[in-house]
Amino acid sequence: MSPILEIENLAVSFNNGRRPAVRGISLSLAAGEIVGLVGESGSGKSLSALSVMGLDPPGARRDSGRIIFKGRDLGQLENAERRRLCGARLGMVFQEPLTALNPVLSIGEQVAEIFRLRAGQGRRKARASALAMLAKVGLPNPAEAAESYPHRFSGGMRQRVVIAMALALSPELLVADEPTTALDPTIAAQILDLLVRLTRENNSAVLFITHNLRLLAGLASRVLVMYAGLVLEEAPAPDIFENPGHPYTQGLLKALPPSLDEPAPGRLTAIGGLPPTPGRWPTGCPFQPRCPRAFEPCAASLPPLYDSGPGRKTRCFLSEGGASC
Amino acid sequence: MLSLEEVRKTFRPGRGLGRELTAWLDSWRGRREKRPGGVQAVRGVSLEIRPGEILGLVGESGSGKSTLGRIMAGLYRPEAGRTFFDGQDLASLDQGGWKKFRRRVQIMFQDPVSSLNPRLTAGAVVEEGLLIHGLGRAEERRARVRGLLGEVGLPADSAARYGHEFSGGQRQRLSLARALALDPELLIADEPVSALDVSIQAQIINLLMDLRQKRGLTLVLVSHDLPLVRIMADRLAVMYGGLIMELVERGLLDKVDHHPYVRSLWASAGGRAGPSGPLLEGEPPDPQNPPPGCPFHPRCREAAELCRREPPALTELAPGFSCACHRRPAAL
Repeated sequence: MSPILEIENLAVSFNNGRRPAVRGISLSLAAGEIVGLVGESGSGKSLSALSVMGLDPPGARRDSGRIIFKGRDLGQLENAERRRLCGARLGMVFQEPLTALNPVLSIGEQVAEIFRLRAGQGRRKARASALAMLAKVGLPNPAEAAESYPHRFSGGMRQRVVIAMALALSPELLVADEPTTALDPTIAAQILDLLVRLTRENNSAVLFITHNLRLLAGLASRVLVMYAGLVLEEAPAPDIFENPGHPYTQGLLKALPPSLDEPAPGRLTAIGGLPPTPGRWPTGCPFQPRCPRAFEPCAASLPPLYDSGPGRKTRCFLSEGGASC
Repeated sequence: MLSLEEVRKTFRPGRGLGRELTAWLDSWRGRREKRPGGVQAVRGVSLEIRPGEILGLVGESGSGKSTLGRIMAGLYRPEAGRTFFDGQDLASLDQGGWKKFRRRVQIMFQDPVSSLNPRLTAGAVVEEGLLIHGLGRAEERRARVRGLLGEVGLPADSAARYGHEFSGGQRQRLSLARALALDPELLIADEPVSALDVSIQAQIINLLMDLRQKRGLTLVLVSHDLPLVRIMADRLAVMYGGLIMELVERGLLDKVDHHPYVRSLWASAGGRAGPSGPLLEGEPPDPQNPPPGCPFHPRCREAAELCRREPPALTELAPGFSCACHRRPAAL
């Protein structure tokens, strides 16, 4: 089956190329597939997502790469056509639901706007569609909610509205950038459940961006781990938790407090050192200064993404020739 | 060491000029003024902190955990109830008494950016407390600052640098150095790692645990992150709607019949394969208008008539396990 979205060697930099932020990432998503993109702050995960949507922040420059959505190169499209696609066929959910909503438009108007502008519905029909969508995302009393303004809502309710807008026209692809990070645990679980249920109903593919590797367990079918603007590891989801290949992924999993069905250790296993400053990456493997298993070649040159098993790629000299680290 | 008795704290909106004007306009138009009730952050909490322990104060936003932490640190005065430190009522402290109290009880905050004065160097941030309390001569203070910065793992040249020159994890190390400068007995850490990346979180948590061991500190860890609190705390107090729902020793975590809210919290924190168990519906109560009875009853699957009427009291159900739930009656 041909993929819904293909990112080919995407590279984005700031300061006219002096500060590379995303340094060549490739990934593909099939219809209905949920793929996780994990990384810490500065790893380039959110910038990659914004780039997919054509929302590169000011000062960012696309150095290379193509973003192909259903066989069409988004970079080659006219702006008007691109806008028609984004919002309708590609939806996005942001981390901070308050800044993603317009404070001076009522919730109903904001959701109806999508049906009017992107689906060409008349006012009355768009309003009915908006109410149906608000009910679908679980707002209790949609008619009353439609008249209210974003500041009246809790974080969880706002995120439901943002999801209603993103999924209004049943997009084939949803980019979700840390959609539950700003929420409390019990609310985050509700929102995650809602996202998965609705995207499954639509058969939408989801690119799920998060800093929390554990969140992706039982959610994503594949996970890509980013660090310093590069993909360090890509693997099917169960494998990456049970048998992480890259020393960084191994370190991340050990640094997390264990889940509640595992015994509690006396202390955590931290990754030493600090993540590099974005744009000022170390030579060779970017993780090498913090890596407990680094040896001579690591500082000399950047390891390629080696094939390290079925559906697995690892950017580590230790996996050369398919060995696992 | 520190004990709270039926402490309450409500935040009432101030009466600024704008509010005065609207109130005047409303009365001029013949409308009855609606008096806002205020945010009831903590609604009657009794709790004792034992010397040398790590107490985890767990809850979601709006549960009152941070407010309670600040009451413990003496930053908020409760409007009802009493706070005792070493047998002394905090309400009875005079200025000198407060100064002594602050040497012994310190707090560190969640946000490593806004909690550091941008105009002070790291050295000055740490030294400030020593200056206020008149500890040591200039040279001794500087040596002490160097020692503290080293103790929290900051590079040797840090003292001359400003807050913005540090990364988030380093700023939290600096906050810790500041909190420890006066050699306190009790440290309240309010979400010390929730603004940090995973790989850095573990470093700070390990550092906190090492320092506490070394210095014999008593620690109150305020956090929303149950798996994290589980590995650190000796006892866990879970708050909801301004009240403590459950107080349990770590060793009993998988042995007791938890409060329904606590059970949902564990389910949403999840196991290796993601969240487990049924999801909690609805949202936490509005702190301006909390429901009558048990604050959790609107979301509780086990709620009965009594729960809608009477708030349950925190009752000891077994040694080391107290629970505020009508559906978990005391065995005796």
